[in-house]
Amino acid sequence: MKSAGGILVVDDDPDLREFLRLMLTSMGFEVTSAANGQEALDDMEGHDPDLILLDMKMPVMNGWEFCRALEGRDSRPPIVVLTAAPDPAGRAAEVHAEGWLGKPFEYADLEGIVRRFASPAR
Amino acid sequence: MRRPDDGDGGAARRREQVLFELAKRNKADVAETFHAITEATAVALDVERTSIWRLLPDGNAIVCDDNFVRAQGRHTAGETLWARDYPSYFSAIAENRVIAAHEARTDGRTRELRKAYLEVHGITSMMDVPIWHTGRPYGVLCHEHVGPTRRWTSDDETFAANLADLASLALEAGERRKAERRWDAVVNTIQEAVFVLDGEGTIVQTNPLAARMIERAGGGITLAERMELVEFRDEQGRVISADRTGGRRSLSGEIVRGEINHLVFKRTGERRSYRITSAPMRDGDRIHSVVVVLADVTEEVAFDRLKREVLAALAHEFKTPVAIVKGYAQHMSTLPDASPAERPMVAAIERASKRLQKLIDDLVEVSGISLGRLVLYREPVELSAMLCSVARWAAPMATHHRLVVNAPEAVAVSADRPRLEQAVRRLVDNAIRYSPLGGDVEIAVAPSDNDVVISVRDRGIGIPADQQNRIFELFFRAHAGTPHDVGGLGIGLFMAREIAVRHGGAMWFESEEGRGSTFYMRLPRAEVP
Repeated sequence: MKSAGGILVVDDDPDLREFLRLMLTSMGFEVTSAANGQEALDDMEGHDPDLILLDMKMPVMNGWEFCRALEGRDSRPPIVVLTAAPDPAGRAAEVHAEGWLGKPFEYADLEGIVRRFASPAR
Repeated sequence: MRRPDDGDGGAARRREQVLFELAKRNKADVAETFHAITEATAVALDVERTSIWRLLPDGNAIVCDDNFVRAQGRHTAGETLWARDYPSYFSAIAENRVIAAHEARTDGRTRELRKAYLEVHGITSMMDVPIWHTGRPYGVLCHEHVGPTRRWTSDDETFAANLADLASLALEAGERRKAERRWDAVVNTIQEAVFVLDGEGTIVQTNPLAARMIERAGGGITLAERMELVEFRDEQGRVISADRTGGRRSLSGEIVRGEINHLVFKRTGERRSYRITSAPMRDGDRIHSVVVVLADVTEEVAFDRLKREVLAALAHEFKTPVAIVKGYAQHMSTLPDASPAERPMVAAIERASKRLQKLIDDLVEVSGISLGRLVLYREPVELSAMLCSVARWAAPMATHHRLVVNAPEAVAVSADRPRLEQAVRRLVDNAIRYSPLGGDVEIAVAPSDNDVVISVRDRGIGIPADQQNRIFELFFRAHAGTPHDVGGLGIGLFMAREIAVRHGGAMWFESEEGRGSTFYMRLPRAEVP
């Protein structure tokens, strides 16, 4: 059985990945990150995270393709779409995501949505 | 020269014949008709010289439009007689009655003309009849007899007066033709295609541009042919059915003002966009035809789309870097180990990133709404609840303010909820930002029979009187470059009013510098089903 836990951050911007890792770690979460959908799928071979923070526009495999790849599974972790689109709720609905966070976001909003789906490890 | 020797009856018949011939001819060419009149009257009244003179508007002179000399069989024009030289003759003309001077060289009205005019031409008797045009004296039809003096009979006067009436008709017809030509020149040169449709929707008249459009379509004179050859789509790209084209709607009495239609010419597959205006033409209650005007706006529409796409892409690309800058700045401001020198720098980065975010939000909105592209999805919206929600949204910003919502009863409008809320948010956001010292911000709703008025009042800095008439302009910022400048693109009020107007409402304000502003938004009430 796969080991559970943590938050998987999927975004092609390394600075944003690093920023999210720093923030989420400071909130007490275990964080792994991936630069696109394919890397995220590879990462999930080892373990399923509690939550996926997912950017939509990425090279190699974008957010839509990543979600389609997960559709075949019996279960998948909750997904929060991280998007710069003018209509973030619409984006989330397109891929049946559990939540959304529009860029740029407030620290409080990030903390609020993450805590809805995951608990800190310590 | 031979005088007619048959009896009075024959002469009268001939005169009637002349009148009849002149009356039935096309009189639109004034000069030609004048020639015909002077020739006809010379023959019918057996006069050597006949002429038509035009009185100048100031009454100081008469100018010869046409002078026919029978012996020479030719026409001349251009001679001028001045009132200062012949004051008695001009007073007689000014009376607008027939001047029948049997003895022209001694007659009080015409004897001034003797030396310079009458003797020069050998004239002994004269008869002038007034010509009228559009209710005013135009000039005179003049008969000048050469040879032994002649007594003008009342039949002569009547005949001459009839010819003067024909001259009036010619002037009117000429005037009409000039107006028609001017109008044709306008219709033929404007950059719009003009069609006239009959009651069945068949094209019965076009200007050259419209004719070229029909050519481009490969025909399409009747409505059925047109629907076969051209696909009509509305601004949102939905296909327009045969009974909903602009022309059809105007045949039912509607005036269509400036709607965008996208036309697909099926023969070639070419697509073009037109701004369509159409209006019914009525005969009493009956609509007998419709005028349709199409302005080609293909380039404008394409450019508008490009503009929106560029703005949206820009805004999108800005968001991730701003998220990083803003996020780190917020994070650093919470760290306990920052030095006293670093703290204001971090605070400045945080403020700058917030301003950037506001600019991006503005860009996103203006790219979405820009100029005629706002589509409303209406639903019943209860305003009291919506205003409370706006107040909750604004509360974190209103650090020095008291937000008061004054909504005594539930009142609903039919509106696009997110757009309407966006508009009210803009007003409340402004009220807070432009009252830096705080005070009450009152959000109220006042329903009447047909309307609802939402108002947002602040006790802030107000709008300078000389800026007030521009306050709703896109990209206008009343406080730009002043200590009250709080940033932004200057689109908030433009957007808010645009949203109100698209809902069939209006927006206005009252403001006094130093005392605050109140913005009002009127919306039509929802119809209760």
